[in-house]
Amino acid sequence: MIDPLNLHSYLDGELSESERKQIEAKLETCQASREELAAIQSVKTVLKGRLEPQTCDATWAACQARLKEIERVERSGNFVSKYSWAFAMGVAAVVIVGGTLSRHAQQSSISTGALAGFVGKTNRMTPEKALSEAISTDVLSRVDANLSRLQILNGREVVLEGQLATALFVRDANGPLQMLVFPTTANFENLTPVSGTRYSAGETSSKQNAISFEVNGQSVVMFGQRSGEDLMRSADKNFPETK
Amino acid sequence: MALGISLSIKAPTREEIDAKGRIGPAMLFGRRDYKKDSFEQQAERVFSSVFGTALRLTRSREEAEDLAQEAIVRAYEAYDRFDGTNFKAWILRITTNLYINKYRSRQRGPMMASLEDENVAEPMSTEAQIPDRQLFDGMVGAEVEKALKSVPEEFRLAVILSDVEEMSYQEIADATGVPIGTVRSRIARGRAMLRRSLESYALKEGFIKEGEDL
Repeated sequence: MIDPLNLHSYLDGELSESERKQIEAKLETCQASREELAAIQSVKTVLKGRLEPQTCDATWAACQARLKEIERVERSGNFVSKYSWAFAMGVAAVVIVGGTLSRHAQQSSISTGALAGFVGKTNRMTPEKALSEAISTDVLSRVDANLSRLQILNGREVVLEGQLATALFVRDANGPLQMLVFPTTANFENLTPVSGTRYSAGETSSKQNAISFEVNGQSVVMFGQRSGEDLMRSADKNFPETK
Repeated sequence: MALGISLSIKAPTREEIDAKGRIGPAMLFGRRDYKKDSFEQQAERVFSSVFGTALRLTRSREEAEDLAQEAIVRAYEAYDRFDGTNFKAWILRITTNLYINKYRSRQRGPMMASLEDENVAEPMSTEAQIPDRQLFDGMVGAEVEKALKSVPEEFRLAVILSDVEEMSYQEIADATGVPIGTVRSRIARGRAMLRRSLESYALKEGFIKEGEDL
């Protein structure tokens, strides 16, 4: 008689073609093997044919509810982790814009006198009030500064005639520079546009040369013991325009 | 000038997920948003198998509901690692593993088989007291279920996965964590046990009288 294990494997389709042919040849001549094969087939048939699907609609509905809940949690988790920075930025923007708008209501331009008053203050900024280098770097990077050319010496938050700005004392290849970075565009009295350039230039009331320009919706003012042309050349290099 | 290249991403349709439970390329490149939908479509098709297997393993409707739900949740969490070949075999493997690792210990009674010989199976036809036609013709599903319950767990599991769920020996070996030779032996011995159980049930219930002229 054929090994019953092989008969089970034969009916389960688990034999190779050659093994199957061997079994079939032996079955031709062995009555006991044929009876065993029929017995195995009967059990297989009754299992496949008589067992009915179990009612499980309620359980499936419960599964769906659990999947829905898992997906909801995943989505909210993803959203928070993905957009938390945007949320934080949004809150900051509301605060800044709100504050700026309220100041704009009081004042629309900054006098060069105020700028002059500011010159010199930057030189006296004390370390205790200084911004961290990371914050100063961040302010400069938002106006596309070429950070590899600038050494940050000091920085602090200031308010000029009601407008918030970041004052920075930096050094480039040509020496020290002072600048103000305003979070929005600002107007400056006595600084007039220089045709063919992005700059406005002029003098402060204390005869310091100053230029202003806009980057990414923010205004930058630069001062220094340099000519207006030198300031513009420095600005070209330190704040290259990206198109 | 536009390059004329466009990409579109959409959820797989039921047609893209073929009858064998395979997933189409649309799903492989689909967005994460569609994970639940594509999983749910496939899981719904095979859920009666998941639940039926859970019920036949635990022999308790309440436990089967817990096991099936937990298997679905675990499968969903592991869906990113599904290789896309045979969804039903994959989810039944999760169900079986979960049962073996968590639910088996709760089962009552000494239902575990003891020593197994991987390479031996006695013929069932020579032991048979009742011819197949007599035995099986009158059997209804509930009686087969009852007979199945008396088969020791390892053998019952192998027989269910093979004959009810039509899994291959290799898939059963993967699902139960035993060598393929053991699967082969368990299926053969499990069927023989079931046959004896059906006979004894038929005799006990008086469907067939012992020694009756057949």
